[in-house]
Amino acid sequence: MEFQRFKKLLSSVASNKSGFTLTEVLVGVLVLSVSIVTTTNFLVSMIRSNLANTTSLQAYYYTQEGIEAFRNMRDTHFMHNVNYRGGGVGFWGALGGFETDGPYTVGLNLAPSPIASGENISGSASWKLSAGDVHENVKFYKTTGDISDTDFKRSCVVEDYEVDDVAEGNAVLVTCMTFWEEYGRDREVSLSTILTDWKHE
Amino acid sequence: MRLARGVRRGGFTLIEMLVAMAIFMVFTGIMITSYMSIVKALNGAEEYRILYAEARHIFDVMTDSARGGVVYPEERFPCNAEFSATDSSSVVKVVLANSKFAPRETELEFCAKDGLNKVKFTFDDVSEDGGLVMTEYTRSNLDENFIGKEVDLYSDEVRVTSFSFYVWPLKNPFSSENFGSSNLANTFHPKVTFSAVFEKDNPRGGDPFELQLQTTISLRTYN
Repeated sequence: MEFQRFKKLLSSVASNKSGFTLTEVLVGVLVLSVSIVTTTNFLVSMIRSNLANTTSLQAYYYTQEGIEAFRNMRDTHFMHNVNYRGGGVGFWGALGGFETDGPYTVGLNLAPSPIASGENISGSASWKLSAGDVHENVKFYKTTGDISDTDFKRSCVVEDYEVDDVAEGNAVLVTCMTFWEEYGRDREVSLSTILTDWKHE
Repeated sequence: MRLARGVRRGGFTLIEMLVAMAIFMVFTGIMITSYMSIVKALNGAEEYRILYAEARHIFDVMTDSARGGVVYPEERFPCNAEFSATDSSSVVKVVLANSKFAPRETELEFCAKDGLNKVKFTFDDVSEDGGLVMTEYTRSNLDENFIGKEVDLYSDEVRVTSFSFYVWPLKNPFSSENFGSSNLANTFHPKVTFSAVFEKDNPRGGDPFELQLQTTISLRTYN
């Protein structure tokens, strides 16, 4: 009798009664797969942040280029004894300067035309400075001389800035920003510098 | 002992085995794919890290030199003692492509204001290694000639596939020659644009890793 009971118990264990159905297993596998794939994607995107580092390095240098543009313009204005922000009348007015109003788009002008007598001097400007929030893509100058659009956009803002010992209106805070999109997210690098009119008495 | 025919034993049927194996294989496949993609991303990250470090080093060295250096017009170049004797056409070591407007150059030299130190960057596009070389020159007050020391700016791993220097202006764009009667001699302020493409081979085959950098430095020292 004991043996009969044991046999019955054994057969009930061996049968499918206490196991999983195929549907249950499939759902289980599905859930596990989804979680593994999600975790993997997360890990991979974490690891890919190194790639993002190189992209922000590019953006950093483009931003620096924007800042240097304003410094270069200021210094060029110094050399010509015009207001450090440029503008005004005459040739330098035609070249255009920067005021403390709103964003500017600044780009390289690597092929400025030679200045012939009587020609518009703006043709000689080494920078393309335009007011307004128009974000042109930054240009990359290839060795071959080709110019290609990058995926970056740059915008610079000039603001009044107060510095000790510098008369009001003789210092500006220039902030340049470079924007780009990465894996569907907006990213940005921003740099600032203070430019003063140290030539001003 | 002989088993009776038709007796059902507690094994698995063929169908059950097949289903179980199919599920196992699908699951294993997902696991392996995930693992592979993580390994691939890790390797790529390592390549990009090397590329980042080297490209950044090169650009920082150059922008630093640009900030501390001078690009002189030919006639006033203070570092020209060595070169005027050998190669008069390249006294300004920004070798002019017969245009003073945005020449694209593969060689650029920054000179210290005292004329005792200078740094020359040379890019050799023929070189398969990506030959970007920096030469640091020094001389004493009494000596005409510089002593140069070459430093390779490229490594075995990262190639510089292209490098350009754009300097503008090199000559005074506002001189009487260019600008009618009013001669505002030597009142211009140069800037240098560096434009480069760095490349690193993918050791696991496939496309090489590429990074293009460009920046501009407004020279701090007036001409």
